[in-house]
Amino acid sequence: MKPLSLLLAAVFALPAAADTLQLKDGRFVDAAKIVEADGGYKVIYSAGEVFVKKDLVVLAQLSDSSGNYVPKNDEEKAKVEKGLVPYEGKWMSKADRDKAVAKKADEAKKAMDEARKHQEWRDRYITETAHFRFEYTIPQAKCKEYQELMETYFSEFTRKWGIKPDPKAPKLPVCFYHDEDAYYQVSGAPYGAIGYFRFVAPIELNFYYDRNDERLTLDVMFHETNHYLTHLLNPTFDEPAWVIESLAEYYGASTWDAKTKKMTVGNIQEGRLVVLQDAMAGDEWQGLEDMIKMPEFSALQYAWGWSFVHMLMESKKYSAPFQKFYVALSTDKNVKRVPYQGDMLQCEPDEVIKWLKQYLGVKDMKALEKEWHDYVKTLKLQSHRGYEDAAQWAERWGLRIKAGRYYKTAVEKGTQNPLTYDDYGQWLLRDGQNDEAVKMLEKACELDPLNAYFYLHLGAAWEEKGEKDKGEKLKKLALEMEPNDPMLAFQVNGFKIRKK
Amino acid sequence: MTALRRAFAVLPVLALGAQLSVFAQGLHVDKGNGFQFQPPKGWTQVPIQVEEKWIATKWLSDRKYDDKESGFTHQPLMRVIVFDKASVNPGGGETDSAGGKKEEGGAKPGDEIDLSRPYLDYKDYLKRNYHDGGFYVSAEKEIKIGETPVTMLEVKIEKLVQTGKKRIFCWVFKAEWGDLAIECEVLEQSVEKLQATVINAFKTFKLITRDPNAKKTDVGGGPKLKVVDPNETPEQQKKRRMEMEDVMFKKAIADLPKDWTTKRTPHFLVLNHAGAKYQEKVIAHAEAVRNWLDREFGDIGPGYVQGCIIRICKDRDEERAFSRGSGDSWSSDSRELVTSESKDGLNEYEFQYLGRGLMNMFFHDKNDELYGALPTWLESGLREYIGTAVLKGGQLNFVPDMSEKETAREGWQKNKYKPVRSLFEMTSKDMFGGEDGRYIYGQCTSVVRYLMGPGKANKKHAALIKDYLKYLLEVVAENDKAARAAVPKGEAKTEEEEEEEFRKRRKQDWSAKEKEFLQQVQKKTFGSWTDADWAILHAAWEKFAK
Repeated sequence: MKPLSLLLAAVFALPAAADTLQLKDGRFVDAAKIVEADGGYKVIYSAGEVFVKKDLVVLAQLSDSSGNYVPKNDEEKAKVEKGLVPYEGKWMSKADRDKAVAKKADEAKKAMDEARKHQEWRDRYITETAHFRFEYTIPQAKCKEYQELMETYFSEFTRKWGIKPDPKAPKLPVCFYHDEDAYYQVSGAPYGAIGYFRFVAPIELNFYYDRNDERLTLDVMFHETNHYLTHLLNPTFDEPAWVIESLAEYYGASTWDAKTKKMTVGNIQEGRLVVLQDAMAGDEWQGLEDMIKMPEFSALQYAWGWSFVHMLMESKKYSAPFQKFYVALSTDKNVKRVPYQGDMLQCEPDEVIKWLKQYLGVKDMKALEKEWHDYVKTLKLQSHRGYEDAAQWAERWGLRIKAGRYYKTAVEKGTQNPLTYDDYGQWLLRDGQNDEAVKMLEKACELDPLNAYFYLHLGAAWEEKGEKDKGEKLKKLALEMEPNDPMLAFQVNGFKIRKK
Repeated sequence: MTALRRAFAVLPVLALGAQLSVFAQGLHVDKGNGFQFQPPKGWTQVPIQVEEKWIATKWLSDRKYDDKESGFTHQPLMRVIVFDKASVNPGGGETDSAGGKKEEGGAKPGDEIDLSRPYLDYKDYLKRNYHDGGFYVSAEKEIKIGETPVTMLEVKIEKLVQTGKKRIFCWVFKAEWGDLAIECEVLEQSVEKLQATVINAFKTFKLITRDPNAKKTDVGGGPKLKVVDPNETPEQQKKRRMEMEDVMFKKAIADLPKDWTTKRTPHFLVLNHAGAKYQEKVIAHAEAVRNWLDREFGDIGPGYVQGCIIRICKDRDEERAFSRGSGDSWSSDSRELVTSESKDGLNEYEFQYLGRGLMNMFFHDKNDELYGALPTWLESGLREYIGTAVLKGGQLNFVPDMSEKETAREGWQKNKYKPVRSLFEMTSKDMFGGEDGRYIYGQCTSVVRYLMGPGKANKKHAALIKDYLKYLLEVVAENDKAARAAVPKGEAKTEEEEEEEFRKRRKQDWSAKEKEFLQQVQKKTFGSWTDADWAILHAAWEKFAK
């Protein structure tokens, strides 16, 4: 279940003097009252409180953080009697404290206004690095990580693949949005295209920050940036779908160590591997020549294509010749290219197969196909993310027991994705494991305290445990957090309809 | 100076009333929604969709503007969109249709669970309704006009826009009861030419007292779960549909701009803005198709065929402007076909659309169970057969159009056609999964042409379609009975058991089930047929088709 726009709902219900938090992922929380608490902040709703851990918060603007201090011992009592009050570890007069509080509140408001302003595309941040022009609405600190990463990617890829970029070429605009909604609205991308590289003028890159799954953000960035980097080989050449998308997927699985500034390639695209395991379970194998001849790729072919390029790139025998083949397709004068659209050129599939066989030293494509299929059988899921995808797949196919095992494995492997805890919590609830379900759903709320659906599900779990009042209260809290979400309202009210 | 500032700078003129002379036509007054304004001179009012809940009025420019960059033309449309704070409660509230508590008696027939998500404000509306490119609010300013707070917005549409970059001007007037947004989209390249016209119209916008008696009927558009009595009799169903028809017809007439006409025919309510001659042609065609459907397929089920609105726009631009409604302006109770008088010689396609639409509604209302089970060969064949019918001398002529003839010629040349026996057993995946889809599609129509035409003279082929439909319904009923009687298999106890079940299911996809169903119908309908009978049918069709 996807959370709907929290910001929008919150703004709609915003009273005149609201308190606000901005989270590190860029979201704002507006409420009539937010108070500082041990280790975080309590957002006060009429149906209950939502606790937001301090390490999720980047800015806090609270209407009154001073309050009346209650002395803890005689020494403090004496100071209070003298008219002093504590403030940030020091004792001072009330007037000085009020002044300091007012100053801090003023600074917090300015910072909050500034941060909120930059989420509007018209007031986006613009920062230029050596090769890119970043236009973005995410917090600056987060974007800085991506700026360093993309520059490293640019340098490593152009060096490894022998690309010599034109030093006079304009920097590539990189449009980076703070969430999915903003991305779809401003970029105009069709639903389902979670990032794109526009390869005709004006060229640009568009993608968004996914707060629940930053790995997905990295994946999309590595994938789409790869399209730009290979585009530099020959901007007027339209590479075949199986080559361009599969290599982008290969690079999409790269990882980045922000401390050592090191990028690692060749990892398993676990989401794609789950798709392949499904196809293999149905005994549906992709033919190699058929794939090479396809003008467009669907999700299934993305998976097959990735696995083929993964085999080639990770093989000592094929890696170097495959890279040479890739570059030759765009640049070698001996490769026959035919007009495509406008001034663009492309290669006919038979020409592609001819050169692939020549570079790889392969005579029989069927033998290469068998080698590839055997290779795919050896690939295994590794991380929590792979098990998350596999659990979702198992649920779709009604493999209840398997889905539960996969969710459990994802949790054991240390996932920090709140949606996984929510899904697993609901699975446990259906399985009658109510105590464990409550634990998982509470963890989901802890990781993302602003997702109203998590409180709805937690409420249902408490009801199943026999605590009806507690459950009802949590459901009311969910409705108060998202007053304009019909699906949420339906699920809360819908339970009533079904109960006779 | 930005466009917004320029607009703001000329505001004092408003107080002097100097702009009124620019407008020759009457004021648009909407007492139900509490506003009035003067649309630009020469612009035409466009009707709003029957199910529309947000857009109060639309006005289409009298001119088209060219975008030099994209090569497209654009015709500006001015709209007023209303956001009443008292919009429906998502989820349908706490009570059922009888006013009782939902948990006490459960949902009752007649209950509706509203799944619509009301628009919060203009920005939210835009976000969920604008699909012609990436956009952002490029300028925003709060002002007051008289005592009314107004937000002036400009929205730029810049990324992935195929039809030329655009800009939307919008002023949002804040009434005590909600917001009223007046907006107009123009090509970025035409901003200089059009801005004054648009802003001058905005300046005439004024809130007036709402008259509750003038409020339009809500026909209940948008996503809903409806609880229908499973034991509803055909009479009860007819009554329900007739009531809905009455509501829809009344609302459509009430919403019509002044220069549209209305006409009741035996089966339709016709709303017309095209020439009178064209209207008569449309009516004659629609009535002929409907009468033919009654004659040929009137006995396929007991359902009452709900009356349909036929709306004829004066041209394609007006039809497009009419169709630009809110995302939730639709209803499963709606029966409306929208067409226009084309000036580009493509009216033939308008009549095809009309015929196909009428068949769709007719079958759906007559017997939805049957319609849902129709195999692809018969459904697509009938649709094309009826769609391409031409009215001549008061009679429908069922003749293929140019494109069908051309495909047929190629199909014979390339030897693409299947034996009729195999065609009847092909699933939609079989038909359209390969590269020969368009030829097979053409063959479906051609076979239906034979069976509905010269085949009627052959004793064995005359009632083939009728028989097929009869046996198809029998198979549907038998399968349904068997499914009810089947003892549900217990849940798998281990992952291995689960996996084994999955592997079986994985191979039994929808296509496999469809194949099995088609074979059941085939066996029931043609069980006594010999290979020679099939050969005769194929030869008769081939002779006709060639």
